[in-house]
Amino acid sequence: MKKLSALLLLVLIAGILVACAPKATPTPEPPVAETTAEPVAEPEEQLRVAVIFNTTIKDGGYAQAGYESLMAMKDKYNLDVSYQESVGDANVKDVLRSYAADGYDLVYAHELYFTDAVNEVAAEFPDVKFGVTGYKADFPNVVALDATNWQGVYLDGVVAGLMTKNNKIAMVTVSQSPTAFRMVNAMYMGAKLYNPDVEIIHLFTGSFDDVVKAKEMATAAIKDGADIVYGNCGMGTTGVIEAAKENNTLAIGSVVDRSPLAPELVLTSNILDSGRYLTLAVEGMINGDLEWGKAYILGVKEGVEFLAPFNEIVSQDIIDKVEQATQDLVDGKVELPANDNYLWLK
Amino acid sequence: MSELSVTIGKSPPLKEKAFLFARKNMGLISVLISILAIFLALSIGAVLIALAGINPWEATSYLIKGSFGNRYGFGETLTRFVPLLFSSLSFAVAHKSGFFNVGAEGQLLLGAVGALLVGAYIQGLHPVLHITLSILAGVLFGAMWVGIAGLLKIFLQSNELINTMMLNYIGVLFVEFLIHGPLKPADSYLYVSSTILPSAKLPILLSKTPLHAGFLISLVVTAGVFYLIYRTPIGYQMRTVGANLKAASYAGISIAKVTIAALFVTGGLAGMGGAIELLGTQFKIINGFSAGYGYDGIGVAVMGRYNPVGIVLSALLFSVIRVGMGAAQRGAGVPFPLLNVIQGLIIVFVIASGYLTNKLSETVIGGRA
Repeated sequence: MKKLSALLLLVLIAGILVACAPKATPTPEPPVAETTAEPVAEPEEQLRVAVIFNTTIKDGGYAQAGYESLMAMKDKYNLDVSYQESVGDANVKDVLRSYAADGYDLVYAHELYFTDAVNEVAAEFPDVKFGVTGYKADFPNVVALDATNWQGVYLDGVVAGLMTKNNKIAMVTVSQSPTAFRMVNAMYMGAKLYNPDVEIIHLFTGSFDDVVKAKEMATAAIKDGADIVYGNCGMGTTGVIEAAKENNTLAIGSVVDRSPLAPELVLTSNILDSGRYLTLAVEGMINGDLEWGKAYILGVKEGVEFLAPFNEIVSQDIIDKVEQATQDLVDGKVELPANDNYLWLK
Repeated sequence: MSELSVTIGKSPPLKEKAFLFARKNMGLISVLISILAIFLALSIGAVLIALAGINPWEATSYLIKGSFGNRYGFGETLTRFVPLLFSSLSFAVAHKSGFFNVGAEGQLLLGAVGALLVGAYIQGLHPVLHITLSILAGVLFGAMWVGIAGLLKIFLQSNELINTMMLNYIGVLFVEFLIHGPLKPADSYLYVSSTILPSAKLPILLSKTPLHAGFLISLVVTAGVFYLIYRTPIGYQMRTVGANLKAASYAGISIAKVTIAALFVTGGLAGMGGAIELLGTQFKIINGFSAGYGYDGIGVAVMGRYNPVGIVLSALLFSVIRVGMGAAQRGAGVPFPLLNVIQGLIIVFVIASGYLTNKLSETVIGGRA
């Protein structure tokens, strides 16, 4: 019986193969027609843009915003686009080189940690233009675009300073990195503008995804008298809003509009539009007004950072003051916040 | 044969012929079954790709073109092959010696740390010496890392499958700690380690591709490992311990000694993979240094049926898939999750085909192929 069943299995496999093979053949035909039709419709020279994402394009945040702006530009400027998602740090150089060797006009890496790889590969392909959402452009064919990471927080500070009753604002970030110091000081400067007595409690979770710790820290700060909590700690930001909800405390979010999490309590969020980088790079390339070899630091003026629509409890007076602060940022009247220590300790 | 005719019944001549043929050509048949399995998995993958609205032929052509059809892709495929080969060798040696080492990922990372310490911080060495010492440091660190699980097994009889697995997480976090502190250069904006010195970099074999000398090293090491396992007394002892612990003990083999030797080889191989990845392609340690090579190595070893030629071929297949699927994504827009599904399908089908081959050979030969 065993021998028979083994033979039968073989026959079965052969059968499946035979059954599968013809099935696979007819399915591709309709797409063939589509792909052959496309090049005929576009005789003129297209700009070829390739983008590399480090996560899935369905991440609901950073990569998705980049992907959506890429697709919007594809239609608007008739681009020939390609992208590769979920590229690990270990593989990114190969992906960059493959795109460059394929003759793309612009190869864009949408991730801070790809900065070194982009600069390394760009040296090998001087005829290809490279862009990176990063901090360094060492070669004349590279452009780096990064956010200030503090201008939006400065605007949050204006709102928080005017809304706090106890004059205590809590901030939960990931670390005490220079970027975090700058954010904390921006909040302090913004709040100080109209509220000289304001105090800031700065807490950090040490992790981009520790929601529980972020929530505990925000709760502790609320117990300590803070009546506005601000979260800018990756996934942990949702934990901060959660703590605000449980304690019926006002909150300010970051990166994306967090008001759906607690519509009554979230005053606003400082949004970081990561899709803007790509738009700026591609449009800059089309218009020819992008300065190659330069590391741009973009903020409110360039539309990379702005505040989400306000909660209705934020008065018109405060909104006007935020607009004034925005204008100051655009005009370059706001001094760069220190990034090595807390301003109030200096 | 008489028994055969009885079981099969009415038309003995043809069936008997088939059995005789199968008995004679079992090796060939097992290869054919593996190829059929891969083909089957790809056919199902093609249907899935078509369901996603993408032309599967276009995707397949990008897969082949991207991994073999151009110079860069060819070099990239052979480069990705190297760490896969090392981690699968590591798993295969452990398997032969009766030790379950699923910790190649952690050992690979620690091996890279060892190589970095020598490659980045010791100056003024001749390249040949510098590279050799860096690789040896990698071997040592990899062996040390699996050694923790090994000592726990020898002295406390604790399960090595769990311990090597746990050590992966510890290794990943430990290396993350290192690049956040001790190994991070002061002027670096990001959390990465220092870069190795030019004298520790492996030379490129094929210009304008990432293919480096580690590829040749990996092939030589593969031959050496199988010589060790099949042609030396210690290899014989390792296999005996792996096949039957009690018999080995009765035969007077020192289990602890053999296990320690096997541990050194398995951890050393994974560590060497990490060292070569560092010296040949990455040059510094970053978060996500290993793109899951340690885990994929298990699949490679199982698929290659722990046999040298099989392991080399399946490591090659895995790297073709890794590289080609990137090209399919860039060229044809095949979504990334779907590519993972197809890779999974291939593994499942090939492992199932291994089971089928075993069953078949039990039937026609009465033993395993």
